[in-house]
Amino acid sequence: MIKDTRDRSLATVARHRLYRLRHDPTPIIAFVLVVALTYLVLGPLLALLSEGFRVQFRDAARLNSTKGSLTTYYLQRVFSSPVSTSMFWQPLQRTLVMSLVTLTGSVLLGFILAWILVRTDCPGSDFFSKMMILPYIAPSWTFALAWITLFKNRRIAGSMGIMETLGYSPPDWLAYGFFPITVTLIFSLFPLSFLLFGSSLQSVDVQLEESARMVGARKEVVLRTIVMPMLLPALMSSGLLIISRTIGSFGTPYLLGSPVRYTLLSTSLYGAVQRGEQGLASILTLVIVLIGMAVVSIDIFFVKEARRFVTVSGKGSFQNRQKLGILKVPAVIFLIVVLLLSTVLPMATLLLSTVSIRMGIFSLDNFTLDYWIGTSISQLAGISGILRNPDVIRSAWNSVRIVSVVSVIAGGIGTFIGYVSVRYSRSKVAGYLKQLSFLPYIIPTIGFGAAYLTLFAVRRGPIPSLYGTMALIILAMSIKYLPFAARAGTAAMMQLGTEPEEAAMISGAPWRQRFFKIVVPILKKTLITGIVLPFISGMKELTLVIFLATPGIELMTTQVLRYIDYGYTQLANAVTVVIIFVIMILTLLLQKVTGSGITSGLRGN
Amino acid sequence: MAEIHIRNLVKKFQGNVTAVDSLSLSIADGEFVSFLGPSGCGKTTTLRMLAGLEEPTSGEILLDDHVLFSSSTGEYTPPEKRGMGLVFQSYALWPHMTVWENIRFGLIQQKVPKEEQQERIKAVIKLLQIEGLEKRYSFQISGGQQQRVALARMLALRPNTLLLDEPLSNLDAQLRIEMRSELKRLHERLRNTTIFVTHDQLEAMTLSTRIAVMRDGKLQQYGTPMEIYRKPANLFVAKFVGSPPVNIITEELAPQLFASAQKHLGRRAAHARKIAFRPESMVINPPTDADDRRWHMKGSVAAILPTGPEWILQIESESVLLFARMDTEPKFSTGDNCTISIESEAMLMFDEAEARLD
Repeated sequence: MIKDTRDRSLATVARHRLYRLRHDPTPIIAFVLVVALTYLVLGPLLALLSEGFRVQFRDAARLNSTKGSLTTYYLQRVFSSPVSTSMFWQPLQRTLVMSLVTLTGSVLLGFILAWILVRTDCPGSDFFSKMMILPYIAPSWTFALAWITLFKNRRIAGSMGIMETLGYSPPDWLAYGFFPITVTLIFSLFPLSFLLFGSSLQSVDVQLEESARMVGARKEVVLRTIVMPMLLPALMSSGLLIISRTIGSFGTPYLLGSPVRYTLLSTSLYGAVQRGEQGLASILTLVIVLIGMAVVSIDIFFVKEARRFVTVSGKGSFQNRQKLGILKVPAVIFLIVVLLLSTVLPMATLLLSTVSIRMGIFSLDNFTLDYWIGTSISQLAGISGILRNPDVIRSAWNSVRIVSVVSVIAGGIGTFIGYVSVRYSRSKVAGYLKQLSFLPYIIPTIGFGAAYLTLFAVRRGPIPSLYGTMALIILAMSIKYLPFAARAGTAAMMQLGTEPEEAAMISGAPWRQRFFKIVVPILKKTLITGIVLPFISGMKELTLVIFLATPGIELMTTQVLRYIDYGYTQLANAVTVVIIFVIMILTLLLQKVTGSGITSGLRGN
Repeated sequence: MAEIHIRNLVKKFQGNVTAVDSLSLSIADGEFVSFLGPSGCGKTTTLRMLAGLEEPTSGEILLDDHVLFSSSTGEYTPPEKRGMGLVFQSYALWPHMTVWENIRFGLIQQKVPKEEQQERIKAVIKLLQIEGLEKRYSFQISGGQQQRVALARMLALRPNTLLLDEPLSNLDAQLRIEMRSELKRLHERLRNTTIFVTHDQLEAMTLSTRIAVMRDGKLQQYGTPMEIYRKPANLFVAKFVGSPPVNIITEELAPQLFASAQKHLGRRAAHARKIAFRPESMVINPPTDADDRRWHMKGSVAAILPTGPEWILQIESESVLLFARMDTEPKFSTGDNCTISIESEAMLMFDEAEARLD
């Protein structure tokens, strides 16, 4: 028998372990990811629970209790107290009704458009398909801003709306509240259902319909029995996504609702935070988060269902587009009208308003570039046009800085999550990271922002209070966009597999070489998408940062809001135009570089 | 009864691409005809025009005495009225219906009475040996099983003609052989007129009573498998059928070989521009054993590839590499010199236009 002479002392074992970790630091990466993400994803939710059920400092005396002891006071205040009607029940009811109306409107509009553009021989379908996605790229509150510019009446101060200038004073119902919020939400959300219906209409294998014809079903029967059932998952999925977006959106209800105190859940939460009612805000956030989670969980179920409807077509070249015949002209007119209302009109309104001294007057002597490059504009208390305005330039610089860092962090974490998932596929670590990185997707944005505010408002153990710092905004955005980045990273790594890296390992390359010289270059395109997509989302993000951007660190989007509050509509519009411009350029670039579009980031899983 | 006549069938797609170019052929009742050709040759388009899913640009399709399509009279029968069955390459099972529902759907459309529906479904399920899968959805069964369900779905309707669009191409090698014999068994039992689209010459050879070889929308040859193999109408057909492929020598490739072959074949080879012979027609002997009654040439063994039942030899002669096939173990090793001889009857001659000379 050979005697085992290996040194098994603790020091030697540790040395070997260390050597292996240096050679392959994947376990370290996995450990860091698990710890950091657990805190950053689950932490905010736990902080909500903790704040919502503990006595806050300001209420300690009134409740005859000490700060930090358990209480159901805030729960009661939200659900059954004299203020709960105006603070919770009414906003909840409005939010739900509005969600349903928005849902119906956008689903109908999206479906009709998808049908015309995918299934019929309508001319120009390529052009229209591309244009219909524009409202999806623009920030969702663009429409609200355009609406205000058009219909603003004397109820709020500042420059007059275009209608008012033209001699028509819009009534309140037309200018603010339910009607305009719903209409603008529909216009900003219909591209979602258009894209979902469009892609599922395209993915319905023509052969499924043809086999039905072969066994004797007439065209109408095929439509009813084969095509429609196939679209059910897309219907459910787009519906639920729209509800979730409606609940989570802040900009539109704030711009169009608050002038007439038309409060939705998101604006009610905003009010509570503004008043410093931390406990109340936590409970409201929890409610929003729970609703959002419920809605998206149902969606996930339907997306799973939808997957089995996706079949790989044997031969894709055969298109049987329905002939429109005499309906061709009305169809094109309809498309043009939608295009005008959803894209041309809002954009033109915004753009025109920024070059008119008074909005709505279309003459040459009313033309001005003051809102862009003027100094000390007399109508606006002497502040300068946006390209010369130090506030705007500072906020633009903030936006670019913050969002750049976010893109790199989100893209990086996404890549590492993908890397760990593939290396440790089938292990619990991979599964845990996957679920964790998906969680931010199902939390409505407004709730996510509020939860981050709650977690980082005070020092917790070794982690300092980050309120009022850029770091907080960066963290919140990075984690909120993580689902898309992680999905992109995982998909890319899955496709790559482990072989290329193993081949490099065998040829003796150390980890850093393998990762940065093999893995990253191969996945360049995907990684660019993973970085640019968060950048685009970040540039137009308003809801998430509304609680996190303090007057010291304005972003471009919060700057827009500030100007609206002051009544400087033209300046707000000009900043928005810049944001849209930047986003469009980036989107086009991304399409050029990767060949894929923004739609790839549409679905959560 | 299902006799099919195709006359001067033309299909042009947008942009004036001619997918099928004046195709005419007749299929007798109970035949198993394969449309064979490379992708893009128009075979699937032809099948789809037969099914009624694609409308021809011109020509006529007749099923017995019924006009399915005629560009001169404007007659057109929609697919659901043709009584044909079509099995797709992707099977196209409806994912929101179970196996049972998939089969029943067509029977409902045909207004088959309830009791008969049950009987027919049970019968085809038994025929295709898919018992026990009735309640499953398509994503819960294997590719081979999906294939069987797709067939069952059509057979339950007792179609006059069964159209199969590359039904075996999505199956793995093992299943493919199994389904191939299954198709043959089914055809022998049911005797339906069957049209089978494939790019796999082996499938076409083993299954068909007749093969229609197509290329660029044009019919190249229509005949029994053995006619196609032994008397190919042109060089394309000769090359497309057979594995390893037919050997071809030309004046440019091998001037000496070509001249000697031409001389041996005599006057009828005067117009030959290409001479071809199948691997199995080559008899390989040691260099001394020249057989003067046959055409022969010298060469050397470049590679020996045993496949189990036979041996494929690569022979180099005048710097041309030729495939030979032997069913006994060759007594050569790589690099040995040898003599190759071929019977005159086994030598195929093609003219300038690549048509075969008799």
